[in-house]
Amino acid sequence: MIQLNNIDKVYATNTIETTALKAINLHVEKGEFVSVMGPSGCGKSTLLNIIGLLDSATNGEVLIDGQSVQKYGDIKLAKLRNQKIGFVFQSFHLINDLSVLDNVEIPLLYRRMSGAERKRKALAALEKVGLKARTKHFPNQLSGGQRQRVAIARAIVGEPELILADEPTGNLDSVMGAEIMDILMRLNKEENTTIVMVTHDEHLAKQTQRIIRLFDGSQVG
Amino acid sequence: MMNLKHLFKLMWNRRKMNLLMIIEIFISFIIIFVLAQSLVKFAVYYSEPLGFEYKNIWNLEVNSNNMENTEARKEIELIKQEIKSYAEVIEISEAYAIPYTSVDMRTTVELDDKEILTNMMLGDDNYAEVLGIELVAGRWFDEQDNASNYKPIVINRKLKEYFFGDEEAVGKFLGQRDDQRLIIGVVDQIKKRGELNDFGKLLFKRINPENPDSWIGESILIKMKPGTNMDFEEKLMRRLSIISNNFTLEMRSLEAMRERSFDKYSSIVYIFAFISLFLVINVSLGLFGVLWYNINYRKSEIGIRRSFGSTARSIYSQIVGETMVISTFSLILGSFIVFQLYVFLRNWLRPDIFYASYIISVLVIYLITAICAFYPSKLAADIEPAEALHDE
Ligand SMILES: Nc1ncnc2c1ncn2[C@@H]1O[C@H](COP(=O)(O)OP(=O)(O)OP(=O)(O)O)[C@@H](O)[C@H]1O
Ligand SMILES: [Mg+2]
Repeated sequence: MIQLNNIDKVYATNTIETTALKAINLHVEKGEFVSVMGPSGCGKSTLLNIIGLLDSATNGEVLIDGQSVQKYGDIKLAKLRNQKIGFVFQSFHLINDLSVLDNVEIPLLYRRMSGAERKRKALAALEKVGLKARTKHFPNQLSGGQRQRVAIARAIVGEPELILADEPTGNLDSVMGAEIMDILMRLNKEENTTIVMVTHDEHLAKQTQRIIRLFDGSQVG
Repeated sequence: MMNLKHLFKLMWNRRKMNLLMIIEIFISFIIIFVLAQSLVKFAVYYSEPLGFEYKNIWNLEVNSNNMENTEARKEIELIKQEIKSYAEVIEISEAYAIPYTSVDMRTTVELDDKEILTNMMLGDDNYAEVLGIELVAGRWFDEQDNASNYKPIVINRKLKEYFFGDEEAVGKFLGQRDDQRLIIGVVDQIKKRGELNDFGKLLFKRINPENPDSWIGESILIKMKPGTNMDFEEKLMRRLSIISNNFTLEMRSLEAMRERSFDKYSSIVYIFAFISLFLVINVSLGLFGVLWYNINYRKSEIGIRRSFGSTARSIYSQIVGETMVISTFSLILGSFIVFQLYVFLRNWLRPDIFYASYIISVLVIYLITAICAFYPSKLAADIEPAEALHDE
């Protein structure tokens, strides 16, 4: 499903150059549930962004379903992001001026679909994360954990083949965290959804099929 | 494709910020409209015919220095005779308040219960011929008017339309100073102050040298044969100063007078255009600032939408589209105000100029806001989504 060949990522600002990723080689099979671990600043989010086609690598090659995306234009990339990938951001990234329901509907806006269908799917996704009672709220009326669940609902609403989750349980208590983990496990088992999850929680990581460890931008196991 | 309902929901939820933008665009529209109104006015006036000829016509200013009327009449007739005796002179006309002078006469005319203040000029029977004025209806003053029981007037089309609309005016009467005046002719427009001015409503009264009560002109317009030069002017003036004892005389060509007046008005136009340009740049910068702020505020929204499948193009069409909706609200508000103003100032504004400047300012506002929305949203949408999401 995903293959990274020799990926480097260098952030260059006027004053400093930060190497966020160094010579990363990675292969994730379809249907795999992989976790990514490592200390803060080691490049986990950067790695997820590159897999999720939200950022380009400085060097190296990204293949999705065996196709290199290097030469893809904006329209093709947008289509891949829309149909194949569901992203859960570390800092949620909800649109504050839209209700919970409208936020969750966003991926579906870029597909051909009726309004009613869109609403039905969004409500179903919100039900899965236990937020059906909060659909008319706005993000700033929610707790951190609730926002995280909205972000998860938005990632799963389009039933993507690949879910990239950046610390999806980071702001949740262990009970809620376990529930979210449950949702992801179920998606992985029942829908054969491929999942790459960044986590700091060894306990959660152990439930996944494989752990990728990063240190200072390099893979260490 | 973006969903319209979604867009309107988003705009409604952002109504506070959008209201500020509506007000900013509204103010810009009003400024642009006022500018457009003035510039269009100049352009339209410039494009309209002057209504008279100025080439090869000289203006001899004759000032009787408060002489008694019959004496003055005698002397001016001597002067006229002398001028006419030269082969270089085609025709002359005695006149008052001629084009390009600052002498303005106004009078109130009435019909039934309608009355209006109108401009007035005086000319003798040769006036139309000397100045090449064409009549749209009726005739210019001539000897027939000596025998008439009524004092004749010639009016311009604007005055005619004011009182008679599409109807014929020749043969009808207008009241002026407790007197009934017979309309004998209609002319188009005589732009007394030159190309850049609309001279409005106008009526002519007749100077009749045979009538001792008639006005004495302060100008003798001289239509020269083409090619007559300064030598002739000198010769003529020398002769006239011998004949005339009491009059002060001064000779100028209409062409020179026109140039002076045109210079005066065209410098006004230039200054005005410069100020306009300055204001338009300021208005654009203001709008750009507001939209830039708005789009920066929305940078994360742009990143989010792109992360979930929006193309960069769909982003800018969304933002430009939203801005066009906001502009439309501003323009509805602006149009309401501007049309109220129009109803209020109907007598002073010309409908063609009003509508042209209205349409121009609507287009300018749409254009400026589209550019000001497009450019920053393009910048924000053309970077990687991760980058758009990063700096928060
Ligand atoms: N847009 C950027 N510009 C410059 N440097 C960046 C940028 N994004 C990340 N970095 C740097 O790249 C390195 C890796 O960052 P990244 O966000 O991937 O870490 P992380 O492993 O996700 O950390 P955390 O566990 O705290 O989320 C860090 O040193 C960070 O400062
Ligand atoms: Mg991170």
